Parts: sequence; structure tokens; C-alpha cells
Amino acid sequence: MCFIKMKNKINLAFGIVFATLVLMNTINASGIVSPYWKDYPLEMNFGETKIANFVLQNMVGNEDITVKAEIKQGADIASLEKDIYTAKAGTSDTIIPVKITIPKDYGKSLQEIQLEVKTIEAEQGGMITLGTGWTTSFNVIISEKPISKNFLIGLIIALISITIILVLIILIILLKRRAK
Amino acid sequence: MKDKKKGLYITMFFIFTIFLISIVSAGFWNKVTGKAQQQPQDISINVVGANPVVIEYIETLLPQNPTENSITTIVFEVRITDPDGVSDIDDSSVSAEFSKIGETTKNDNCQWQSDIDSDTASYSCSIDMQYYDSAGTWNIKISAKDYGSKILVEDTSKNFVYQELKAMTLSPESLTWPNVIPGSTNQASDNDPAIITNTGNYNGEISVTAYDLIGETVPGESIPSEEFSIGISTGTNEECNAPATATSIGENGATTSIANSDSNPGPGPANYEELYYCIPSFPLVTSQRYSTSVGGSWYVLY
Repeated sequence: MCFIKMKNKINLAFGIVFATLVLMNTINASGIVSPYWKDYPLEMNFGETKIANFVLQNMVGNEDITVKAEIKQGADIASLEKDIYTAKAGTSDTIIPVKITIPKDYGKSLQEIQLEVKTIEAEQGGMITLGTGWTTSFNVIISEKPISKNFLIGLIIALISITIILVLIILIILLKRRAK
Repeated sequence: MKDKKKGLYITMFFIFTIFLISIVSAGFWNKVTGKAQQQPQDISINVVGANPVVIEYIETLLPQNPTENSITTIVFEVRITDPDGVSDIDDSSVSAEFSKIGETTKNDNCQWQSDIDSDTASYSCSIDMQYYDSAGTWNIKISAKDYGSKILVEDTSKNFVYQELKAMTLSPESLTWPNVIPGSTNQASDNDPAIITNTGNYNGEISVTAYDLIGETVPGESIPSEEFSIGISTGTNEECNAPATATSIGENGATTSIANSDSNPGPGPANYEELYYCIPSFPLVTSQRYSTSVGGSWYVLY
């Protein structure tokens, strides 16, 4: 009986040690949600500004994570307000806003934007410390702003009005000439 | 003439008799005997209409975020109209379905919430999306029918975007090597593989950003990152045999895609990839400890 109890205690101790080792070896998991990606481009017009909100998640681990964000491509139109973001454990709503501004005279109709986000890791003591990161690339398709329906209607009305006025002026001139 | 009058009397007699019977039946003269006793009786009549339902409104869904290693419940409202009145709508028939080519279709019954007016009712639909469901445009199908016509009406006009989630867990968090003799070959890490579990819906290759390992005693000496190789299998030093079964790591700070690696999105436990690390030909460097503590951590990237 006493032997069985001792065996159970040893098993429990091994279990605790194993679980601790597993936990020690696990990097806090995290992820990032992209509003645009390779197959889902962003469409914009010249002179337009949009904010693409990337969402940092830290749902699996039980420690806060800190990441460093960097625009690796397309920095001429995309910018970050800051580059360090922290997501508390158990959260999925840390926003990393990327501001994208297309100048009116921008020379391209397609620009790839690449955002790289990497966790900031504390030194782990091994030969190589490993961290996790995500590179999100998406295309920005740039086009001229389409002419609005109201603008078109206004333009047609203006053209008709000008034509009528011109016809009236011509008629008045012709009538005056005839009167002479 | 007489015959005509006779016929008229007979007709009038019949009309009068029928009139009298109807009055008696209506209980006009309660004194009339021989009629059955009155008894209260509950009568229930289901009035159903011939018109099919109309799917009046489906709430527009904004792009939806997957949740790391979890489900995202998408809740939205639909409104069903029946010209024959809300009582003719078969509440249990109102259902929603999300579908995308190559993906398992998801469906759920919608729950009645309230009657908006006499012929329109509001329903709440909720469908669970998994973290590994693929990113892209998903179609929404709403179905409903009524009791009267029993015609199943469907609407597939709406879509929503399920966004891309790049998420992973990585274990272990540092790699070690046994003591290595300079000039030796095929020196594999002694605590790999690094196991990368996909807790999102990213589908693609895995990359590694690597940095030179700097000497901790003599920082002027280093082991360049190009001396390393990474493979997705081991056994007979496959991780050391680049380019046949492994990938040579790029220069200091470069990001290298690991050949044949796969993020393996999907439900656990198969949603992971293993990376094995090797130094195929150990450089002739002085004896000291080399690590990433100065040059910077390596990164596993999606």
C-alpha cells in the first residue's frame, strides 16, 4: 500500500516536471489579422487616404507580447504612427493602423505594401533564440476617381443651358439684323 | 290554371319549411324539442396562406476577423415577410449557410426574435467560423418557407469577407548544439525540431530570418548565418543536405523561404510543421560560446 502511494507520488512529480518543461519550452503564441492580403488587394484613388487596420491577437499564451512593426515595402505611400505595440494576454483587438496616402500625382497604378511584424524576444540562453513574426503583403490598385452620377447630371444640365443661351443669343442677333 | 296555382303553393310550402328549419336550428324557438343539447366546443382552425415568404432583409456583414486557435461566432439579422401574415412563416425553416469553394459548408437555424409588423418577422442567425477556415469571400445563403405554400425560398445574394490570420505557436524558444569541434561536419541541433503550429488560416511557406552568431567572449568572431541549413525532416542528416533535402540560410539579416515547408492550416493535431537546424560545415573559429544575444534573435515567419 505504502509502495503504491509512493509510486503515485513519483508519477505526479514526473508529471509536474514534464508539464513545467513543456510550458518552459513554449513561446507565447500570437497572430495578426490582415484586412488585405495577396489575393485581396486594396483599391484606392489618386489623392485618397485610407487606414488599413491590422489586428494583433494574443489569445493562446498567458503572457503579454510586444511586437515591432515595420513597413518593408511601399513606404512612400504607407506609414505607421508608431512601431512598438503590446497585446495583453487573452486579447484579440490590438490595432496596428497603417495609413496609406496616394498623392494626386503618384506615378504608379499598382504598389505592393509589405508590413513585417516581429515579436520582441528576451534572450533565452540557448545558442539561437527564436522569435515569431509575420510578413503581410498586399497590392494597392490605384485608379482615377470615377465621375459621380450627380456630377454627370450637372454637367449635362450646364451644357444644355449653355446651348439654349447660345441659340437665344443667335436668334436675337438674327432678329435684330432682320429688323434693320 | 289550377295546376299552375297548385305548383306555386307546393313551392311556397317548401320554401317556408326550409325557412322554419333554419330558424329552429338557430335556436330561435328553444321550446322546440327533439334538438340535441348545446355543448361548448373549442374550435381551432389554422389559416394558412398561398403566398410564399419573401426574404426581405439580410444584414450586411463587415469583414470578419478569425480568432487565434478558436472560433468566431458571426451573428446577423434576417427579416422574413409573408403576405399572409407572420403566423404563416415556418420559424423552424429559417436557416443560414456560409459556403466557399473547397471549404466545408457551415449552417445553422436562425432564431425568431420579434415580429416587426403583421407580416414581417426578425430572426437572429449565428454561425461559427473556425480559425483555420480559409480567408476570402464567403457566400451567405438564407432559406425560409411558409406553412401554406411550403415553397422553400432562398437568397444567395450576399457575401462577406473572412480575413487572413497569420498566427502560430513555436516551441522550443531557443535552439542548442552540443559542444562542436571547429571543422567538423553535419552538426545538428540537439533540441530541435522547432515545432510551428498554425493557429490561424495562413496557407503557405515558412520563412526564417537569421543573423550571425556573435562570440560572447571575443565579439570580433562570429559564425555567419550562411553556415546554417534548415530542413523539414531528419534521420540521415537531411537537414544538413542543402539543397537536396534542406535549405541554406541567407546572409546576416536575410529572410529565407524554407523549401517544401508548409504552414498546414487546418484542425489540430496535424496543423504543424517541424524545422530541423544544422551547421553542415562548422567554420574554423576560436573556442568560445557563440549566440544570438548580440546579433539578434532568429525569426520564424509566416
